[in-house]
Amino acid sequence: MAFLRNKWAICAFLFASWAMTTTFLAGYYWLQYSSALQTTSGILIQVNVGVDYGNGNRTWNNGTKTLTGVTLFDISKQVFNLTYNVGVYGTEVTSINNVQKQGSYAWTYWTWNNTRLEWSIVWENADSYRVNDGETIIWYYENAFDPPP
Amino acid sequence: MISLYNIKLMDLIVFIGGFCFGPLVGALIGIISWVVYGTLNPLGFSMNIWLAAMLSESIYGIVGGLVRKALSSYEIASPTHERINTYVFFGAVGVLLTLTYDVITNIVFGYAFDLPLLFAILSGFVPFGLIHVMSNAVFFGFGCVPAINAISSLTGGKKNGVSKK
Repeated sequence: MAFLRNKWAICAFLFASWAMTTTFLAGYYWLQYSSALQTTSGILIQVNVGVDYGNGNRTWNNGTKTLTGVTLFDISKQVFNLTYNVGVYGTEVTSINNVQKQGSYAWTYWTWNNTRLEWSIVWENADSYRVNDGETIIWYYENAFDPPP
Repeated sequence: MISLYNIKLMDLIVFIGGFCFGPLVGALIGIISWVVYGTLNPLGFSMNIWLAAMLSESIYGIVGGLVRKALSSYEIASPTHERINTYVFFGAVGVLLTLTYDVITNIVFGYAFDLPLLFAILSGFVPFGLIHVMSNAVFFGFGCVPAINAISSLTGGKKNGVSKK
């Protein structure tokens, strides 16, 4: 059978051309995506960050957009008016939204445990704690280590 | 056509040379074309890329000659086979050859400038590789049949002609 009259042979050539071209296109865009990912060092995630002032007032910044690998300290600096000290034990938050650490009162932070449905304290400085997608975290002003109400 | 990056008739000319005069002559046309163009290239000169382009260009000529051999004499001389198939076939050959050429030259480009292999192959594909592929699909698809027939008429032989129906 003559090659050029064989429609399947022609289709195979067309298909091969299409497949190779689209493979290269896909490869190119994968490369672009990887490069963008490397530049931003993470994938876009959302977290809920709140502040409890210990006097019944509580504010939330729900759906705060950030990237994987970002710490709670970075996000808090982004959404709150925050002051801090850097000491030998790491970064200590000294005030949030102008509420200063005072006497025995200080800022602690807690994450919401979706399984046990309660707040869990994190024994780690905020600049070491990397947030996760969909996580709910609250800063709590208190003079003990009782969980927020 | 120097202002139109990666749009060039050289590939088609080399392919037709191979088709009409055989793989060896086709390969030589490709090599000699790049010997001349590569040394006078207004975009600059790079020895590695020049050598790679010279050898890669010869693929068009070699494949042109092989395609000529693969097609039966019936297909080349017969006025009955469908024209659209011939055009599509040559267009697809143009696409596949251009992708091969681009991959080889991009590998050498990566080697010459110390780039990761995958990056070198893929990074230049949009828009330059795509322009090269698309333009050659059009050039090969619509240019092969009239060009081969014209050369056949000039050389006085019917044997290389491709029917336009």
